[in-house]
Amino acid sequence: MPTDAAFFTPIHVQVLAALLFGLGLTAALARRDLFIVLMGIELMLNAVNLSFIGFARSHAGSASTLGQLAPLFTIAIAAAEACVALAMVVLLVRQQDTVDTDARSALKD
Amino acid sequence: MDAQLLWLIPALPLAAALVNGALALGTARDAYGAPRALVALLAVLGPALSFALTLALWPSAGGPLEGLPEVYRATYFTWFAGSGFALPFTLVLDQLSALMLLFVTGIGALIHLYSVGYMWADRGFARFMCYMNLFMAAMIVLVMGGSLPVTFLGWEGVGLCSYLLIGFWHERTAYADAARKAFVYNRVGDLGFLLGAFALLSVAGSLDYAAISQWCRSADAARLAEAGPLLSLAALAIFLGCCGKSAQIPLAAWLPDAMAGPTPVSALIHAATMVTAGVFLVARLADLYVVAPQALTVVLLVGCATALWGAIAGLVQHDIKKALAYSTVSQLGFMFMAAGSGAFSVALFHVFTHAFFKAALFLAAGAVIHGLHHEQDMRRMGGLRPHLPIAYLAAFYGWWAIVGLPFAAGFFSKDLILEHLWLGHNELGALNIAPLVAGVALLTAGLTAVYMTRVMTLVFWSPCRLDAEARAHIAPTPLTMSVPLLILALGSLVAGFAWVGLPLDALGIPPDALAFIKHYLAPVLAAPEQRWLAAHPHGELGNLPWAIAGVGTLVAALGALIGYAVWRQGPAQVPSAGSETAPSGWGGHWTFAWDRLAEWLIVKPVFALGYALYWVIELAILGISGWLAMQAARALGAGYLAVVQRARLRANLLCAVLGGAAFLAVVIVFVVR
Repeated sequence: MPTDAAFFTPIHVQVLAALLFGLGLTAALARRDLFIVLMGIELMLNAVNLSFIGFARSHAGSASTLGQLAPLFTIAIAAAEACVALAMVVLLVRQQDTVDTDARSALKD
Repeated sequence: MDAQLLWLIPALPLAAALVNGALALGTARDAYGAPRALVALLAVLGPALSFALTLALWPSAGGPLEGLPEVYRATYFTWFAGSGFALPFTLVLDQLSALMLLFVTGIGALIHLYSVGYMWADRGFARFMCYMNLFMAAMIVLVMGGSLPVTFLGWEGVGLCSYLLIGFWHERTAYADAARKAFVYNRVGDLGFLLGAFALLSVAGSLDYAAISQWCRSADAARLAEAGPLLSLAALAIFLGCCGKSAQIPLAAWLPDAMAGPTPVSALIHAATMVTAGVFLVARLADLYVVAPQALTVVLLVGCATALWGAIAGLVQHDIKKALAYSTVSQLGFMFMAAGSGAFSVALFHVFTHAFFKAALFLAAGAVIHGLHHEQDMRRMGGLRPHLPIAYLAAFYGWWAIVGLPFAAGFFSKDLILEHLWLGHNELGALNIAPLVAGVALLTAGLTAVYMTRVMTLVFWSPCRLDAEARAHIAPTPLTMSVPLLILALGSLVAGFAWVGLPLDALGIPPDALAFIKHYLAPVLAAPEQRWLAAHPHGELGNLPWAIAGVGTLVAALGALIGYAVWRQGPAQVPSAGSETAPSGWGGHWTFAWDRLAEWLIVKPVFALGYALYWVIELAILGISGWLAMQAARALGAGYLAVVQRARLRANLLCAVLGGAAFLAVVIVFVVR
């Protein structure tokens, strides 16, 4: 069994982050359910966090500290973003009774 | 015993909490719930074993002159580390934390036992016990933390448990609201705690209490002057955290609402232990506060204002638990007054005595509420002395102690606070305000006697206002509730002798043998207290203790007489069952002054901002510009633009992604290369 350091090279971490980002992007673009779209966006944010952490691991000194700190900010902002987004979804559902993004458009009518 | 065993003290209640939580979850779908005898056994055993361990590890009270004190200190692991900074997870059992642990685990175990009787019939028995045990574990971590972050861990833990237990009966919207209110008020305080911790880190270079104390003690005048503003800021910000936890003005309004929780919760968390954490933290950072004298003056003034406000508010309450809650707010003000005058060990002594008599009073109130089947309106009680003798006994001794009549616990601690205030020296500008504060404190002591006697009179001494049927159905106090009541009644009576000792020479016991608190805290608190005294010398003590004892007793007796004379016939009118208990008129204005202030300063402006944004941005700007864009599009030929405007969120998102990718590609190709 290889050790962690040999098994997870920095490239592995970045590839995993890119895969996660791609998955999130696909979910956000392809799905019509607003909740799934939001989850896809969250996944993309987390992929970026993972990328930061990966770089923090492969760099030394203050660059590493910055790499650890940036995700903390992202997490805090993502929490606020999720709050606002979910509140908007709730309002939207009250108004239109659907979470389908293709259902209606206020501007087009 | 080995210092490495310190972790067992918080771990035992934590283990009980985990098992009880698992039992509660595992039986969530059963009609009856988890096996109660097992839950009760575990729940009481956890804190009781912690209490036994505290006694076994009890650090000896070696004074500063007798060499190094025996202190247990154990570092277990590095909690987190960054470049140039590491935070070890350290637990400390020194004299200060040992004194706190003594009553936190001791009274905590008693209240757990009481809860077994009080909550037995509740469906959520296991869940309740799980939260209570978790609270014990968090409170122990708070007290034993060797650095600010470890204390903060416990600080947040007790806040969480307080929230969970205030809202224990969350089916009632008002109770859930009260829990949220407590949570939000404590968040405001926690922000202060964190800012203060960061400021301290930047000044002293460490978050470890020992290192902070060392820095404050060894820094010379030039360094202190240079760091002065930041030190004051740190002290004030941390005091804001203490205001949140200990319900001081301006963050006082949550504690009375917290009475929504079951009565054992009010006794344990919102009277005896958690709310005194603020006083504990100020004492823990005593070395910081004596080098930030302006901050200590703020502590004194806030304590003074809160004590007076709470005492007057306690006078107009109809709900028995609310009256006791405002009393707690007021007594906490007394503790902060003591700390504010530089008498940190006296503040801790009042924390210690208050834990006994306020727990006794709350548990007695719980026995009354239990006996009357959840009646809490004092106007509908009266004459309960023969019906609930054990509750009366505990309430009587608690009353004796809190009023400050001779030789009960509160008599000694209150007199010491008055003494230090009268002799003390806190500058506000050129004015020495400590003696003025002493005057307000004496007035507050008199008011305390009035409102506590009012409570006793309305509940026990005035004519009975229960109808015959209710009188026939008063539930007796079960054994699990009686035993803690009797022990705490005894504690209310004798806890004061832990400072003054007893004249037992005739029995061959040295006079100071029992007076352990007086010298006990010296290894931790003597250095800051002496430093404060050197900078702010006290006057001659002389016969002052006797004078204050005399005047204090006189004021207390007068207040008690007034309280009895005014309310001995009961209230002017007896309201019907379930009617509003919140005071109205000027009493309501006074009681809810801080709620109203928060409403006017924060709630209403936020709502106003929200409406302003809605009217200005949503309706005026976006509405008009949207309408204009629509008209423009129609005028330009809707047919062509409609192709672009697909009204498909996914398509828009795809365009955004493609645009972003194209932009990135341009940057990479032409700028970075």
